[in-house]
Amino acid sequence: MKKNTTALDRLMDRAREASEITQSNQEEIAVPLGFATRVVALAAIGNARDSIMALIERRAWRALAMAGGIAAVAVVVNLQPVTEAIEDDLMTAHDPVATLFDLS
Amino acid sequence: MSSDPESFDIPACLVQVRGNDQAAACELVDHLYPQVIRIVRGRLPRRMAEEDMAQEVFLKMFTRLDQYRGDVPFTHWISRIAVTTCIDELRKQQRRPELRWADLSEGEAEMVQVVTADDNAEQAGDVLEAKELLGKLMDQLKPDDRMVIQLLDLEQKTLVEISELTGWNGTLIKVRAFRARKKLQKLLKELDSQERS
Repeated sequence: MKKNTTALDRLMDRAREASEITQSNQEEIAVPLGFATRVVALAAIGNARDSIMALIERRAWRALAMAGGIAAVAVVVNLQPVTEAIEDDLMTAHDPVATLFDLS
Repeated sequence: MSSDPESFDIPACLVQVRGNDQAAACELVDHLYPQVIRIVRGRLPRRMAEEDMAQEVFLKMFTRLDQYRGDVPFTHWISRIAVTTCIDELRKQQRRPELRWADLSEGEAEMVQVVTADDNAEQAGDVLEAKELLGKLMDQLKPDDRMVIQLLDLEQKTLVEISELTGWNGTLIKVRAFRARKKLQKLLKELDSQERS
């Protein structure tokens, strides 16, 4: 059977050989000193940051809901007196006869 | 817990890690490091240290630990995280500009001549140069295509194994492999014609 028909096949065969050689040279893989501690610490920091962000998010929604409720109550309570005061002001301020007599 | 790789009890360790036991988390990292580093090696983007990549993998592992339901062995699960992290990092890196004859080292240039020669006889040339040359050619591929060539042709994994590692189905893997090989052949031919001209 014909083998290694293309240039790419030949290149890949050789690259595979190189990988096998380098793999056999690197059988023993040692964990770098302090690697595990660093990774676990970074993961813990990440988790803490995530939980703080989640807490802020939860509180922020609650605060927004409360602020909305207070604003709605304030509008309901103060709407009538405010509209009455505006109407009174408008009646006196825009009476042309009263303004004319005041000036003369 | 025993630190002997053979007798390391992963499920028991995971229970402790989920209970915020940092010593158990360190033991888990120590136990999985050789496996992760073997996966990361050879799939590493340029200018990225394998230790940094391994760190990324472990951080993802801790973030997603709650999602692990035990349907597959933990070592398979972490292998998949390692492979997808490599693909993500390859996607982030900008594609190399077009590879030219002048970019090749003397040994790599010689390797192009050796492999493009028509005869099938045993040929000379350093196999490490072949690996370097293939790496440069593979840098021109899309990250997914590159990963398929790495797993299928260089590491000679089966379609099922690649599917487990990447989550891609068999048809997609075959299509990617076909496309990637075609592109590599074209690049190799272009390099050869540049040398001849």
